[in-house]
Amino acid sequence: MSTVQFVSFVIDSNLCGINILNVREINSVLDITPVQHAPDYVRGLINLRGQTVTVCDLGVRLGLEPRTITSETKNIILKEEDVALLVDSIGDVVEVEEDEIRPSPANFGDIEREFMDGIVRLESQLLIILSAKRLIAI
Amino acid sequence: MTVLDKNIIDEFVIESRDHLESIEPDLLMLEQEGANVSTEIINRVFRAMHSIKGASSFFGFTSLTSLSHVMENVLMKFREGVLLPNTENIDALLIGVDKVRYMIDDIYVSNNVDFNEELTRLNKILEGNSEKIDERPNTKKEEQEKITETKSASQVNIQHGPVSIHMPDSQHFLLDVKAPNNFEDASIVLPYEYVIEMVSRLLNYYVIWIDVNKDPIHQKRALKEFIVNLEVFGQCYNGITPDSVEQYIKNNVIVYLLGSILGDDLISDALELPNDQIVFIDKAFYQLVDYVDITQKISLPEKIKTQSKIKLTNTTIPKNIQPTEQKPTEPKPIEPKKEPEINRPEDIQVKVQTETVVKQKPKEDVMEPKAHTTESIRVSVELIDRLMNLAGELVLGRNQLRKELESVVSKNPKLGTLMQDVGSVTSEIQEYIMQMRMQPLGNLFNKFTRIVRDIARMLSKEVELDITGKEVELDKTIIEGLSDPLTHLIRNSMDHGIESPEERLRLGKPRVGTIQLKAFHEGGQVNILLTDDGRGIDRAKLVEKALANGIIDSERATKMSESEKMHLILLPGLSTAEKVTDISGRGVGMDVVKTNVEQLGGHLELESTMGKGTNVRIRLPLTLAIIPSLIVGANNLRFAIPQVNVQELILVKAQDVCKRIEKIRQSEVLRLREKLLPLISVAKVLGIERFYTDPATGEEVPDRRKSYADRRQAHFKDPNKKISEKNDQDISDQPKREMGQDRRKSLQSDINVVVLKVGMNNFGLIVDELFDNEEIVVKPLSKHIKECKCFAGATIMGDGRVAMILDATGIAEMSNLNFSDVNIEEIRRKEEEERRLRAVSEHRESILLFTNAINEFFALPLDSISRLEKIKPESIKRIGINDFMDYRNEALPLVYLDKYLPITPFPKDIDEFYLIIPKTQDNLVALVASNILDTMETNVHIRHDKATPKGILGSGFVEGKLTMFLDIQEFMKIIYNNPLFQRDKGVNP
Repeated sequence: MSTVQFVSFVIDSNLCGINILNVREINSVLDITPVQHAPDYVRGLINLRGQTVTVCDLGVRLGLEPRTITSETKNIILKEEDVALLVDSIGDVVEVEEDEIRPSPANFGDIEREFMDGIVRLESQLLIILSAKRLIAI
Repeated sequence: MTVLDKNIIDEFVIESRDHLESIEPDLLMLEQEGANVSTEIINRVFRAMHSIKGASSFFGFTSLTSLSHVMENVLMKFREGVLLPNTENIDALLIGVDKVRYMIDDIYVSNNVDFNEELTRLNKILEGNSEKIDERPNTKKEEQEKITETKSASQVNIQHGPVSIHMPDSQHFLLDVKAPNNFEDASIVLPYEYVIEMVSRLLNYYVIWIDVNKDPIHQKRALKEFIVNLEVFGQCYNGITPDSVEQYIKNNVIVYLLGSILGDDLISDALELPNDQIVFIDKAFYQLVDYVDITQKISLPEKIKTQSKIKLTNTTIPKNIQPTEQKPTEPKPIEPKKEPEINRPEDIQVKVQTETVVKQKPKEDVMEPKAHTTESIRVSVELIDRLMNLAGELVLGRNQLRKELESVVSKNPKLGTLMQDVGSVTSEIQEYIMQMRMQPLGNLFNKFTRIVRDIARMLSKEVELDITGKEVELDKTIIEGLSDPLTHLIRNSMDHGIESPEERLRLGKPRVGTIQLKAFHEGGQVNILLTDDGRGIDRAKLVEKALANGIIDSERATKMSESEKMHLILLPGLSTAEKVTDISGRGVGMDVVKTNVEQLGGHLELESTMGKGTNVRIRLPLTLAIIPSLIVGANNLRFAIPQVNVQELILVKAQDVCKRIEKIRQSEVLRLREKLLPLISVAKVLGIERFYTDPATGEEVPDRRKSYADRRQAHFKDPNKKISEKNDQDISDQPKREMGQDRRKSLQSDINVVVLKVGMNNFGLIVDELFDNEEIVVKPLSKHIKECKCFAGATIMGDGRVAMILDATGIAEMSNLNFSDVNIEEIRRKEEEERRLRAVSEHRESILLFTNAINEFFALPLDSISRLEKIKPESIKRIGINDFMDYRNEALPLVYLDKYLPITPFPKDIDEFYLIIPKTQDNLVALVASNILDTMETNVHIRHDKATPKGILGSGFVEGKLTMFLDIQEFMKIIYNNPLFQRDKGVNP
């Protein structure tokens, strides 16, 4: 049985995960230049070694409140499209068996279902698996 | 064809495109030169066509081969002089070229392309002339033999590597090739005609040793099949055919002379033979160019008539050439390398046909392609783009590093020089990489020769295209983007601009119209100038059309300047095809042309004289990748504005804000040189909350002021009321408390306005701060923020932060700038002013008549004068360069009219004169008059025109004397604004 690795992170009190294969890097470049008149989930642009990366506020994207920037705040830079997701804090890489992934429930908290790829029951908590592809689709 | 793979075919496609690129202009030149055409050009076209044919047959693209073969035949006839490159023939070839291009564009299905039409047309040309060919007399043989004899056998002695070439007799060459390994050295006799053929075909030539016991077996082929296979790759020049191969076997070895299009890096793989069995002989072989006259192949009566091209007629090729192969009896002594004795064809020619004009040097052009190969290499655009990106990042890195180092340089001064070195190298790298992207405009311009020719024929017009500045280089992307707009402009010129030949003659113009296409550098930009001598743009019709389409109203139409009228053509409403065909000027899609040019960061200007022609000027940046920009700040954010959009920068001083900024309907405008400039605040359009520091608490508080014009609304009920000097004074007298509330700090209450150009209109962008100009690298926006119209992209600043690049057009759109409101207001004001002037000029007034110079008369309305004084020169006090007079215990500055107006100077030697003290609000001055003549009631009509200087209402005749009427208000303004006068005020004793 094959396993999948997820980068886990926290949004409000939810533990979410994104397939590690979609992640280029995680950093805390928080010098974000706002882009006026952009969609509300776009927080702005950062300079990642000479390339501009669009930072999306994952909170807003998921239908929650905008994130408040703290010392824990991180950017998850995705491999495609030069997009980063702004999250409250970052957790471990979680390795799960494929068959442990359950389909997403009809309703889960305030997180919009369209971005969910399923859930995994970890020892202490649920891991909400998010689809990187749908998160960065317009 | 085992070695074939996609890569090689791709290569072939690219090369063929290059060939086509060169064929087309050459064909056009052939057409132009007609009978006088130089063989050099024919040969060049021929070679290019031949390469396409050769390679296509190699790859099995049979349609392409057949078509190019026929075209090649036609070219051959040109070369022979049987056919003339007239319009009809060139037409057929050009159509062929188009078809070839079409085939090459999708090479894998090229065999399915129907090319019958082209083929028939080409064949017709060939057939039409076949008779002539047959008639070609086999004369001149004698003469030719004479020439051949003049080449003495000893003249040829070529040595190059393993190859040596001699001429045992006048009709044969002897090719000796040292075998690369255990094989016996080869010796091949080549008849003179063979060498001519070989040299002119420009193939790669190889001598191949074939071990009949090994090589065919290795390839699992019979000997015959093996030879058949060789023929796939080229042509044999020592007589070996699959059928005759047996007789060439000598000691189990066959020596095969192959002419192939394949280069020496490919040949071994292609033939599936080891490299050490193949000797590439080109280096030696092509030295023969100096010994044979390739034009010998071509010869015919017509040519001789022209007396220039032909030196020899063809020899009859021997029917049975016996290729011989012999081993030299003894190894030749290796002669020291020396310059082969060159017997130039011209020499021969002079010897034999003394009357023939020496004109061409065929050998040079034959060598040409060889020279080209070492000059450039092909690099994919993608790679250059990537390098370009990296270079951009390097520049950013350098800038950031420099900033960081600034603080430590003082501790270690070496760092400074080091940084400088790295900095300059970085700049150079960037510059060179940028240059890699640069391409000469010639690539694009050449295309137009064809387009002009085709359109001219279609429209039955005669047009000459005159191209200059082909060597000017521009970024590849820009050149690509220019193709469409330029084509469009040229089409317009030809369709609407240039008249028919008959009409031109009737108008007294030269029958042939001229279109000039000129590129040159100017002010760090590339200018492209397209000029035609056609009928020009009919402004009246444009206005008519614009009125009909409701783009402008009749009131506006009457107020428009000539240039404004002409630029109507650039408006989208005037451009849809059917609407425009009735406009005799231009107009098809000119707005699209303009948009295209602007997308390239360029700028389009029009100039036209009815009946004389039209000038279109396009200004372009050298490259798109790096754009010089103005960095501005708004609320701690920085933005870049591309310099091309920036017209000027204006600082509106705090005390002038109320005077110069006002509100028209919803929009704020700035008064700028008699014009009204709509204003947009960058903070407002972007929805950035403005903050100001509350002077009392030091807190950042949102600025609730809605607009700049509001500053004075507390003081004035009617915003449209003209603000007088008096009112202005009131503002500066406001209590300090109020000032503090209205302004962040005193300096920032000045307003920075960046004047941006959008199409025909300008608007002012209010920014909080102005920073430097910087060269920025443009980063594209991700799809998430593409929708933000106000940004053209993003960039990374020296400190590593991202800054957005503002898009002038987008901003104007977003803030719904209504230029027409402003224009209407402007017109209204102009009219008001005119009415005022008219009223003044017609009004019956009491005037004072006086002189400055004795015979120059001036008039002032009596009611504008508060006092007159007669004074003696002694009572004048001079301080510095200015004169004063004691007047009610104040120093009263004297104003000499000639200091401020273009008039004759005040007379010097004068006993007494007069002072006129006008009524003014403050700052008393006295105008000096040499004499006061009279006061009178008058209703003189005052003439005012463009030539009337500022400060003068106009002139009129008062009792038969030409008199200038002073506009006292204007004149006072001129005085106050004069720096000299300002200084006067400071010298109050």
